[in-house]
Amino acid sequence: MDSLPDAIVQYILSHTSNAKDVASCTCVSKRWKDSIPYLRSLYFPRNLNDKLTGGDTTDNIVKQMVSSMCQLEELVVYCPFTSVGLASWLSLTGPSLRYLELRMDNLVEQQPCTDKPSKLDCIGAARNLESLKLWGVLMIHSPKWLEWLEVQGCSWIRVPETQCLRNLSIANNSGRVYMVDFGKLAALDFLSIRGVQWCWEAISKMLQLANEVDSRFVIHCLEETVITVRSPLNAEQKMNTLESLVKYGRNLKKMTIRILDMKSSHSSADDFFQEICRFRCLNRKIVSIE
Amino acid sequence: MASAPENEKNASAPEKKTLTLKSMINNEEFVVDEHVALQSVTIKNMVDSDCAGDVIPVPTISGEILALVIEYCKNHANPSASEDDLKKADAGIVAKDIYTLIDLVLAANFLDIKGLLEVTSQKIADSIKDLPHQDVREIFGVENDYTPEEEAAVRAEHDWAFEGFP
Repeated sequence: MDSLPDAIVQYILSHTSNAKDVASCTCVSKRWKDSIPYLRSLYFPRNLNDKLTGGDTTDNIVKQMVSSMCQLEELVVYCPFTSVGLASWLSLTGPSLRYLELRMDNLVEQQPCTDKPSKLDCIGAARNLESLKLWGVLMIHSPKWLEWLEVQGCSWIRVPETQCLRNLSIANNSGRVYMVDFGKLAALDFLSIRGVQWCWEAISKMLQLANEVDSRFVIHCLEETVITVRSPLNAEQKMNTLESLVKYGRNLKKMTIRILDMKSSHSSADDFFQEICRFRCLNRKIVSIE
Repeated sequence: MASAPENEKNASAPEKKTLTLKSMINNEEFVVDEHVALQSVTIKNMVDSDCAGDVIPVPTISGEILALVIEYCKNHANPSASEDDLKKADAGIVAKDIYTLIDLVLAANFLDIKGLLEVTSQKIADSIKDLPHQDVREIFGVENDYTPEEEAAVRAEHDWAFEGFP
């Protein structure tokens, strides 16, 4: 490899991204060390802090490595970090960074209260960021130029600045999605929502937002759905949601409404049940009640 | 009657243009369809500026490597190949020892074939993964130009990364 010109060595080494391999490369030779600043992508694995001794913190490890890069475009951090650490990395890489992915496992320590500065407030320093991917996150002030957002495993999602957002995916494979709140999704052209359980409020909000984007909005892929009804509270919103699902789900073949533990002592429950029955009569072909 | 349309088709099909690439290391020659060879920006520039004769000499690239390069170009010139097919074919081409890969990277660079440069570089970089730096030196034939003191200092900068390494 010593026979290769500098530019090719740099090009080859720019294809390593795991921080551990990068560290190893700096020790190979002087020329290899001099190639490291041209890396475009850095990845810090989750287990980075497992064997840390002495005064080393993951914050400092990332900072030290990021500081030796001159054109870092992609930064992926799966090990724990603090907001101070993140702010320091972003002030170092700032304008060159285009892709940022963070796993924020210390969510538990961070109480969801809005008056405390969030871990991510400093993201504004990465002013050319095109893509932000967050795992298990609490985010309070999102960058308003964001075009592509993928949220996984969150129950409460609020993004007020959404005018540039074109691509939005929300997925939660382990828990329930309780609430979503977005600003106007004027630029949206791709929407994906997945998950085990979505609450009424969240799903009705998503349907309403999608319809505001484009009145011709249709959910092509939805063929089968199971809806659980537990109480007659917010009956009107629930009925609206059911009607919307039938309206937008052009290819919907089967909708099962499961009514669980609904106390029939309330007159509101009877009214609601009647509403549901009427809804079933109107859409006899696809709707069934269990 | 039945064979008439076929004859017509043959008559109207333009004659496929080919180029001959010649390795100047072992004088091996390869006849290649022009559109396949034109994936190399270097060859395209030669053809565009009328510098290409009947035989295009390729310096510093052996016949063995040139054959790999042409295989890559053929795969990628096939419009019906799916992305999956190409990925598999690329993986086959770069499943080689490190010396072949280094020659291949040089060839891809000289002939200016971006995709081949990319997959070959990625393959080389992948083989660095999880190796102690001493092994990297040996496998990649890199001379250690650090003094022991310098090496210890560089290593100390990333002490955390050498857990479990000698």
